[in-house]
Amino acid sequence: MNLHTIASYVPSQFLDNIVQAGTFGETEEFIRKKIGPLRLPRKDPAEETSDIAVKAVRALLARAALATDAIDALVLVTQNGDETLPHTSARVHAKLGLPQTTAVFDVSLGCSGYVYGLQILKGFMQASGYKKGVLVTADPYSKIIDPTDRSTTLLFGDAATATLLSDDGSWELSRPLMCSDGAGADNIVVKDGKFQMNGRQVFNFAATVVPKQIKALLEQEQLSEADIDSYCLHQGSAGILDAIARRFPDVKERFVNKLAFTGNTVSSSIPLLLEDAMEEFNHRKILISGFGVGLSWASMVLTHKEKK
Amino acid sequence: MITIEKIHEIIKTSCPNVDASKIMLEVRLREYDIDSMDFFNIILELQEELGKEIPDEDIDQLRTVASIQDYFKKNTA
Repeated sequence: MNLHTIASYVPSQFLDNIVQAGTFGETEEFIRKKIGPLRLPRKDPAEETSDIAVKAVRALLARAALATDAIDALVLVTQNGDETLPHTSARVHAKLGLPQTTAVFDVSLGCSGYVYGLQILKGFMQASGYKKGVLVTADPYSKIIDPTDRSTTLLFGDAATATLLSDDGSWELSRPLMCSDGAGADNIVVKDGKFQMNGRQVFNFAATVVPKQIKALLEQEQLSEADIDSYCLHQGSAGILDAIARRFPDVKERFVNKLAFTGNTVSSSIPLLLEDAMEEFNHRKILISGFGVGLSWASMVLTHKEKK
Repeated sequence: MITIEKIHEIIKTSCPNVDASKIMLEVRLREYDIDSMDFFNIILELQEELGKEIPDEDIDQLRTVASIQDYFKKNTA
């Protein structure tokens, strides 16, 4: 079961992050170099999570020339769904008019959710004999961000993505490495309806465990750092990406930073990068790594089956 | 123990724009254009040097080069 196509929906409305930073006394240079986003896309407040998910899936169906009745399964990664009950993928199912034979369910994960989601959907499809499955990410943090909290409001943008897995996709998925540390769960939480993050602990966590996991994955796959054409890591912040990339001095420039116009879009950040990276003619191997809420982190290598 | 040279090296690695050699022992690091993200990086490197995690409640003890040296004295055998 391979990765076939990715499409996305990034709202056209946005928050000017330089202006927002000014209200906290932060400079444009600090935002550009250490935080990353110049703009933070914002869904319309009247739009629900399922609405942005549907827009991403519709873009995928158009790009892959796929009919809704061809979708055997749809998995939605979100922690900010429409309601507590039902699962938001049920709302997506209805809005897209998917057939009753399509299996849908949600996965509750944050920034590691895309890598976990690929593995969950791949295994589910293989075990069920399915041919086409869609992994959707839609986790609009604008629902939970406290605009007075400088440590989080400068970071997060809204977006949704949809990824088609099928038996005729071009990108093979490696066996991932997936880890958890529930002892650190209090470092990223929603309390009293508001999102809270211990920035230093999250930075520490990401800069410590992610390089180790990437190195272990390369060893598992018998690859060198230079064998990877692009390192598409979760776009936590510019500072976190720099701290991780610094631990790979020989290939530092292959770590992608595209925070400027989307910000940290949680589980959507990796597929937003992949959407572009997969189009690069010379790319044969791409490493993806997500890390965050849980604490949870996961990494995987994607290999183009015809360019190996 | 940690030497002043080693602390300067860590500051240089964490914030290349800062001239670590000009940092006075008792002056707070933030006075030298070291921002919150630079400070996260410095703590990370100090942790690696110390070989154990530095808890959040100890961070206030690491605001100057001299206090970093003191902290290492207290926390290394």
